[in-house]
Amino acid sequence: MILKTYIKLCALVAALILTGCTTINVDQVRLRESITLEQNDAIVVLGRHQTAEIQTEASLVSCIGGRLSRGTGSTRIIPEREFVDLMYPWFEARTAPLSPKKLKAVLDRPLLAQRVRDLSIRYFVWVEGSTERTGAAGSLTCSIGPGGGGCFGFGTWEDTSDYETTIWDLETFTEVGRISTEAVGTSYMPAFVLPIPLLAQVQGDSCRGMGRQLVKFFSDEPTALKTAN
Amino acid sequence: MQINIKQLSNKLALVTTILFLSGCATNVVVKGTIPEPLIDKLPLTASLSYTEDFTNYTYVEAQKSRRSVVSKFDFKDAQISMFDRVFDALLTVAPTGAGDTDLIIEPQVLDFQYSTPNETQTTQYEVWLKYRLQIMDGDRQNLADWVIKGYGKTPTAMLQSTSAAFNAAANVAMRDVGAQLAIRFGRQTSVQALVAEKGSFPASTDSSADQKIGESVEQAIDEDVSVLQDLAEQGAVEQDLAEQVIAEQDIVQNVEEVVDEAQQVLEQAEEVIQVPSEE
Repeated sequence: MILKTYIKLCALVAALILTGCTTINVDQVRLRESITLEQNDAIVVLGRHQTAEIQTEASLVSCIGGRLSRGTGSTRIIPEREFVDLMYPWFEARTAPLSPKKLKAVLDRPLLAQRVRDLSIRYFVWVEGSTERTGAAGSLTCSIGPGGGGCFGFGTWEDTSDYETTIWDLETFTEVGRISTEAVGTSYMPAFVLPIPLLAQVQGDSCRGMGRQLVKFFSDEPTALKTAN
Repeated sequence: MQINIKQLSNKLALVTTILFLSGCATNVVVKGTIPEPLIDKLPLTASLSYTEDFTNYTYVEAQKSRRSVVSKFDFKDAQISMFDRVFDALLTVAPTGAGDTDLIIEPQVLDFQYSTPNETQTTQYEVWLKYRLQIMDGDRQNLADWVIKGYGKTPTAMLQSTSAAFNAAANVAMRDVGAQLAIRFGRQTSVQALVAEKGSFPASTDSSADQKIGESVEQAIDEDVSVLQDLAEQGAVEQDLAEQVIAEQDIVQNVEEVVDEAQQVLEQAEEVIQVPSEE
C-alpha cells in the first residue's frame, strides 16, 4: 500500500517536472508558392556560429533535424556534424557561406559540387538564435546536519528563446522561406524539505514549434501559420 | 549490531579522498582529429619542420588563482595531427629532413589562452590559439610569415567535466586553424608564384571552376556598384530637393519682408488719415 502510494507520488512529481508554462509564437514567410521535394532529395539542418555572439545551440539544431526527419517521412535529413565533417573546411564557423550567392560560389568548386551531388542535397535549413535567462527571483536554502537535511524556499526564473530559420534551395540558389519562433517560459522551484522543480521546456517547445512548421513548409501547405500555445 | 570501526574509518577515508581529489586542478590532454579536408592539391612538394619546442609544447598555468581549475593543457599530439592532415591534403609532403622540396613549412605556437565560465560570467569554455607559420623555399630562404588565429568554444553541460569541455573547445579551435590553412594557403602570394613557376594546376576543371568563381565575384561587384550608383542618384535627388526647399524658404522670407513693409506703409497711411480728421 505504502509502495503504491510512493510510486504514485513519484509519478506525480515526474509529471509536474515535465510540465511548464511556455508561450510560443511561430511566424512563417514563404517566398515561393510551392516547394518541390523529390523522393531522393536530402535536407541539411545547420546552426549559425559565425561570431562569438551568434552561437546556435547544437542540441536545438539536432532536435529540429529530428522533428523534420520524423515529420517528412521519406526525406533524408543530414545531421549537422556529419555534413560539416564531410564538407570540411567549407562550413566551419568562420568559413560557412552567409548568403545563397556565396554558397553558389563555394559549390562551384568541382570537389564540393560532386560531394553535394553524391549526398543529393536539395535544401539548406539554417537555424540562428539562442535561449537566454531573462529573469530570476526568489531564494532557496539547503542545509545538511547530523539529524538530516533539506531545502526551503521558492525560486522562479524566466527563459526566452528567439530563433529564426532560413531555407535555401540549391537548385536555384535562392532563399525560399523563413520561419521564426519566439518562446517565453517561466519555471518554478518550491522547496519544502525536497525541492520540486516545475520546469518550462522553452528550448524544447521552440524546437517543437519550429519543427512542426518546417514540416508544414516542406509539405507544401501555403497557408501562413501563427499559433500561441 | 556491532560496528566494525576499522572498516568504517577506511570507507570514510576513501570518501574523503574522492571528495578531496574532485576539487583538484585538471590536466587537459586534447584528443581528437580533424576530418579529411575537401580541397584541391597544389602541385608542390613540401616538408614539415617541427621544432622541439613545437613537438613538446604544453601550456602550464602560471597564475595561482587559475591553477585550481586547469594546471596544464597538453595539445601537442592534436596540433601535430592537424597540421599533418591539412598539409597532406594540400601538398605532397615529403618525410622530414628530405631534401629537394619546393617548400619547407615550420609552425610555431605564438600564444594560447583560455577562459572558464566563472571568469567570463557566461556558460562557455573558450580557447584561443595563435600560430606563426614560416614558409620557406627548399634552401630555407624565407618566403612568407603567416600568423593564424583559431578560436573555439563549447557550452557547459550537465555531467560534463572541465577536461571534456576544454577538449571540445580546443578541438573547435584546431578545426578553425585547419580551415584557414586549407582555404588560404594556396592564396598566399609566394605560394601562387611558386605554383605559376611550376606550371598550370593539375585539373583543367579547376581553372573553369575558378573562372566561374571569378565571374560570380565580378557579378557581385557589379551589383554592389549598381546599388552604390542608385544610392548616389538618390543622394543627388535628395540634394536637389534640399536646394529647392532652401530656395522656397528664401521666397517665403522675401514675401514676409514685403508683407512687413506693406504693413508699415499701411500704418503710416492710417496715421496720415487720422491727422486731418483730428484737425
